[in-house]
Amino acid sequence: MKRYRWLGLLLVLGLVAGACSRSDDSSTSNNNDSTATTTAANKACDGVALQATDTGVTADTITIQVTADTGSPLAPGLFQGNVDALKGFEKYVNANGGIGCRQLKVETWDSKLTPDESKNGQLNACSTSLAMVGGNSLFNPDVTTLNTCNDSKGQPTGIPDIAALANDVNEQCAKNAYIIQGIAEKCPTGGGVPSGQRDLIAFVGTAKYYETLTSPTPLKGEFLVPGDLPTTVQSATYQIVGQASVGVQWINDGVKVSGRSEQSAYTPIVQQLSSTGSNYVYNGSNDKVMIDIRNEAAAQGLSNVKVWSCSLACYTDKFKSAGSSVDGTYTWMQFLPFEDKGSNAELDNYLASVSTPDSFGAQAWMAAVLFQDAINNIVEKDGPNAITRASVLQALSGITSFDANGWMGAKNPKGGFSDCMVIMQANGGSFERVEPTEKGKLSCDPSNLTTVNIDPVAAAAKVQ
Amino acid sequence: MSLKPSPRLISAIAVALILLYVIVANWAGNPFDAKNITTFLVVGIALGGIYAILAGGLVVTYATTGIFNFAHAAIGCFLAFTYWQFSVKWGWPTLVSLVATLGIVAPLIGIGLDRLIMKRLKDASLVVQLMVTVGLMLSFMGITLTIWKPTKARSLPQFFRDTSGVKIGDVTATWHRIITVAVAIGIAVLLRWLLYRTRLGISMRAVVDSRSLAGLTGAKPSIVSGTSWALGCMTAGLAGILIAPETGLVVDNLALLIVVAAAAAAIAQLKSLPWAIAGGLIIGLAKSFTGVFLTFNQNWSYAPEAIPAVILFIALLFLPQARLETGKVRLTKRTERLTKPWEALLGSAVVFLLVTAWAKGWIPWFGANFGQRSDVWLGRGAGFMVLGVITLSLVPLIGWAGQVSFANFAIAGIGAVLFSHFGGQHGDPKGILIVMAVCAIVGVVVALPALRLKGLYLALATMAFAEFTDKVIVRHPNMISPTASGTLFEPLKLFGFRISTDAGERQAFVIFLAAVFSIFLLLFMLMRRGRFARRWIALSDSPAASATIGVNLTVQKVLVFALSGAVAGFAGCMLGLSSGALRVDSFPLFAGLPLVLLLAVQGVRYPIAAFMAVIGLALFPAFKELMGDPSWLSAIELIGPGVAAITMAFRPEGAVFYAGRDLAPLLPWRADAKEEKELADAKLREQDIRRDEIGEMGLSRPFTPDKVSQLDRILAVTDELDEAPLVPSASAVGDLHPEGQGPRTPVGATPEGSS
Repeated sequence: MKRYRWLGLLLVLGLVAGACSRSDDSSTSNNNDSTATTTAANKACDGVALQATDTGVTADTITIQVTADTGSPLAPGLFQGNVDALKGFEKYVNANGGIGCRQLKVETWDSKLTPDESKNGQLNACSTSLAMVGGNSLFNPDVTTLNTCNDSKGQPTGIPDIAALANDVNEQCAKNAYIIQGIAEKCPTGGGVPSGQRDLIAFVGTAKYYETLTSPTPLKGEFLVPGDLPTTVQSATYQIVGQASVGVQWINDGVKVSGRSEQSAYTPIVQQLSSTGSNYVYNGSNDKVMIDIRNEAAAQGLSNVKVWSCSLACYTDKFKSAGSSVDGTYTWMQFLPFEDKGSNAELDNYLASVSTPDSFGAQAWMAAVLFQDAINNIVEKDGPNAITRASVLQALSGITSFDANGWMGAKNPKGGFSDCMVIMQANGGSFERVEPTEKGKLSCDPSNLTTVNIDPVAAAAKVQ
Repeated sequence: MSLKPSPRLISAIAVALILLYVIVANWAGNPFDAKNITTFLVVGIALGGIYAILAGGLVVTYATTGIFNFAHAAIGCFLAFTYWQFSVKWGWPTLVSLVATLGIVAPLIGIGLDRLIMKRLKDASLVVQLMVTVGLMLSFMGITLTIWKPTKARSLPQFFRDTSGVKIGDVTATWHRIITVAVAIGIAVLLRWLLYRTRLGISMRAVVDSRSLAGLTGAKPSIVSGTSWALGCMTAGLAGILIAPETGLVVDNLALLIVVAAAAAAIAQLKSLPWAIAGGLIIGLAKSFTGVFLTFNQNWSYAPEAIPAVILFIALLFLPQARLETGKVRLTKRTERLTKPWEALLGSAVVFLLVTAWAKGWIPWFGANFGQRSDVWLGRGAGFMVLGVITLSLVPLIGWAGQVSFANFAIAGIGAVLFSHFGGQHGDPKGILIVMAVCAIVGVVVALPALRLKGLYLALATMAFAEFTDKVIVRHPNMISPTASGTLFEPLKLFGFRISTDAGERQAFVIFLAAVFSIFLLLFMLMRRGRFARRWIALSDSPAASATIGVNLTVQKVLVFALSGAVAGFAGCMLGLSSGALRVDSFPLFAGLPLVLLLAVQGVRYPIAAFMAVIGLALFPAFKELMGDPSWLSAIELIGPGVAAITMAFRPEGAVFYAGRDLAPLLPWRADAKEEKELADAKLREQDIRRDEIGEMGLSRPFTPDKVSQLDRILAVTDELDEAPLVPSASAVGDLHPEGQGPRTPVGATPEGSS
């Protein structure tokens, strides 16, 4: 039994949701219409004798693998949403003509919140699959196999990794990794991972919106930092600095919290919020922390905080069902929420294909759509027998702006970032749109992003 | 008159000075005003109330059963989920749910545990008692996770959450917290009354002291013991229900509170209910004080998480020195046949060849996923072999010297981290020797408490060390840098080979580890014949007798801990190499428990048991894969070792012993084993005949095995009275109350507690 910090590490996902980014690129927009591309690709299948072209590609099937932390003894089913999404996608695609003129076959790998099993997942995928799609492994530090494993011809092509989320910086910077979730910083061009003082992109669109709620009083309050691991603390630093750069006044340089703490542990924080006349709390940690501090605030009669805000980590059924004390909490995301059912075909496909949708699963589905786009492009251009790992990687590198057919804010899968957001508010056991209010719309603005120049390690030392 | 300060006074001053230094060095600068003091007190007492309830239950269970129940918090967790099922999921009224949970389910669990498991532990060794309860803990955690999957949202509301609570200064104490503190105090008062002022309570304590004597005075040991366990489960359930709204319905949050409860119970020396409550409050106040007044710098930022472990350690530090037992010495170990050198060589060679054959793919397997020799399974195989070496390091320590330790996985963790600094980053094997030397010293440090503690208290001290290592030592930035990412180890270059977990090198890694494991195995089996092992076994059998014949107990304890630490350190190097990357949370206390459990299940005295333990460890995930990863097996890695450990209640000697007893007679050169088996069979036949003779005495009612046992018990009482009169001499009383060896008169030793 091991890896007990999973709860805390989940926090990072929320943080990433809130801030990840890289100000990249020119964006050769590729707002592709999936149906049109699929139709074109299907036409390319006519009369072609299909062949086995690479590992994971036979005449009949294309095999992909979804690797996610689902079976840790203490956190069974943690990212089951990713697996469910890919299994749903498999059924959906096969029921609609397949992919690359073949049937899609999805294999699953449980990375169990361990680096060892994450690496084993890469090894397994290299021996069975064309690509890794929709993955979510929190600990994935060794990407040697991902970058260099041999294809069927013995070439060290590596394997495409179209991840829903990549928490580990090594995976973020892996040469074959394409990620739906944003990346907050640029990876060094010569390989390796970023370090030291550097530019990072923080998402400040939410803070700017919240400022309108308290205007003319500026936002003043506390940033709750996921404190279980040094990396999770570092992940919060650039957001703290970023929000400060647009006028948020922090009473501390962040305060560490943990999903394992008792509710009483929040009493001193609530006391400080009260005594400093704070009106703002941003939770970069998980939903349990937000529930606990809101319960404690209610118990202590704290009334001066006007904006309780949380990352994507609070967009959960658990949070919704936490009762009236969490009412009014804001949460935000960079894709159309599930409440927008009927406004986007891809969102509807996802909701129709899984029984228990969640934000991780949504991003896994988006990753699958990206994979589908890459395959369709290959088939359309070079035919169905051109599908190899190398060609998939090449096709992916040609997609510099991806929006999952309008479901998410456009971003570059290779470290790109979206400047779009939707802010939701919890009320009476459900989430309601507050910005933008129109269903099916994302609020996109380049000024939602800002660049901060910090050393996250040094900044993390200041967090209490 | 000369003033000679006692060691305890010196220790107290030293601890006080250290604490003062920590406080001054990390003072946050917050004013010591009424507002902060109120916050500190209200939060501290609220937290303390939570811990006090758990600690109180733990102490009561120990006092009334003689067993330290590691599963106490896990049972509380299970019952909290049960309560949620009744009250929230099914919508039963609160009172009905409470009655159903605490009045029906909890007692049933307690009585069930007593009937099925615990009654078999009354004469078991401490190792068996500990392992069974740790196994229960893992099992209850696994069962809870299986029934109530953590992917579903669940929350347990506080009692009276819609009321405003009581305002104390600037802080509001909610009614739930007030109730929690009140219940903690109420439980202490009620249970103390029960234990000291009622016949049932006196019987409970008497049964712990001597079932036979208690039986003679009219107590019914089986009923009393069942009641004790039912009571223990009820207090655990009550604690779980009150704590869950504070911690959340999260299994590990709730079950792992056992460390905090153990710390509070240690303050109470496992016998004083008022002190258990005080212990809980001390821990709560310490955490609150840290939160309100202290700020730790980056180097020690995780230190607050180690507060319970530190308090546990300090509490153990001030326990009385364990006395040498000079009372009745029970024969707990049979005389073992020593493995002959050629047999040891053969056994080691077989292990090496088996693993090598598997790594080479010469062993056919049953299915595509079941232990298939793929790159994936080679990597896992390497990991299991590393865990095997850690397990092996426990054999001389626990199996021979009887020093129960939960610290070796933590020592291996320290070894892994050190190796990333001393050679591992360059693939230099010389670093392994350095790490082994350092880990031997770490082992000696762990041994320091062992010089004055033993048994349960030593186990708790090593648990505190493991927790401190996890929360503080490996999290220091100089150990694992905050900037560290990716692989921290280069392939090990040894005799021209490259050893790593890279896909192409995994086979070599497994074979290398098999060779190393076999060498350690051989050395240990040979060592078992030597003077050191004999001294360690003597130390375990009877420290007093060992000391009498001139064995220096201190030196022997230090030596065995050092040896064990060095081997664990080597395993740590390999652990780092096999993982590649290290995280600060890679070495939690509870990750090492399955190793100790499975070793004990296989037979803690036998080196070969380490290999069997590893096979057992590998079987759980393999079985899960074979079954296609069904959700009902999601917690098998908890339940599997847990249930295996529980079976020790039925087969305490370990699987290797029983397998050896049954299989050795088949070997042509083991005539001795054949004779021994015939003797054992003859004894069984004799028992059968005796039962028949009783039946032939013409008594009207049939004499069941239970009745025969009752008869035996009466005879045993006679023997006991012969050996230990009811009024022992004053000098013998202390000797009959060794620390950590079960509460011989644990409560009765207190002034008002004479039973």
